[in-house]
Amino acid sequence: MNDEQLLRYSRHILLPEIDIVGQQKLLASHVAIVGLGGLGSPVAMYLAAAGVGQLSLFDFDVVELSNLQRQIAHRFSSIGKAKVSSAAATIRDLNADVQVHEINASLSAESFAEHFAAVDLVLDCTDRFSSRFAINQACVKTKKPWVSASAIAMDGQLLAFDPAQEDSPCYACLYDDDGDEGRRCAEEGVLSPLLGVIGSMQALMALRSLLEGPLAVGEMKRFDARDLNWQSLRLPKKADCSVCSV
Amino acid sequence: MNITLNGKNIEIAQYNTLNDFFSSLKEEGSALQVPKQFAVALNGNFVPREQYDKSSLQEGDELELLVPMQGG
Repeated sequence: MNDEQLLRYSRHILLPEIDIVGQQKLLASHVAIVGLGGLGSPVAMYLAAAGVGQLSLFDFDVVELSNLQRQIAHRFSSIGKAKVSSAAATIRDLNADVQVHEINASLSAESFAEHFAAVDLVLDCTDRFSSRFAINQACVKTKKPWVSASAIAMDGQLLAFDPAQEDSPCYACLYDDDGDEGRRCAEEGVLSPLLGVIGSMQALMALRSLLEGPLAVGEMKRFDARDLNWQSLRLPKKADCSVCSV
Repeated sequence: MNITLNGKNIEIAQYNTLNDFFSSLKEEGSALQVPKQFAVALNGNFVPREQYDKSSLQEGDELELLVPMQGG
């Protein structure tokens, strides 16, 4: 690290849990962020500010006016631009140490797997099930740890998976891939800072994973923005899961 | 018997299994509505669908029905 980096990351380096070794680890890390919306915005900005060396951004959407109520990586001047480009510009403006890869496409599980081969961790910040199931398949295939997050209306949830751990469940152990649409923000709305709470927690779990290794798996964390309570629910691996038990 | 459903105390008839309880919710005129797709946590542990007919429901149980969430 040069003098400017020592100063920039000084508040990290002061932490015994990070120190210079940990900060160097972050600078050498590569994280995939899938979805640059309400969750992906704070996730990308915190990881960039924290000095995660490489970020691969995946999205196929463009910035719209209705996004700006919560998707804080994007600006009014970015309306109509690809979300990955808009977020990449914000990241570069925050921290030139970060190398940003923009993937402006809708990918299959196979294509995700090709991209994930090069990363240390995958963060699912998407807003649709088809993407979540594709990410799940790709991570099981490449044995990459990942954190799935979602937020809608007043509810948020986070789940960490690590296919390299034998007892880790996968996303398909929880929900069936039956084409059901579930709850969507465009229909139910979502409270703006809820994305900050859940996205920041996801970024925090990401840094802990990069610094300390394997994530604690098999636990869903739920947050209720009405009473501000967190709840943990245990998720066991499904014995006959069609994705992770074959 | 009394159980907690998604954080609310409710009184329900006696059911032997989760399957029996969910079937009763799907019947016409049921006061409680059940979503089309949901995951189930009983006393803090997710229960796989295949275990619904083997999982008993007892007085004081805490049941959570989670609708899959897409939003991000």
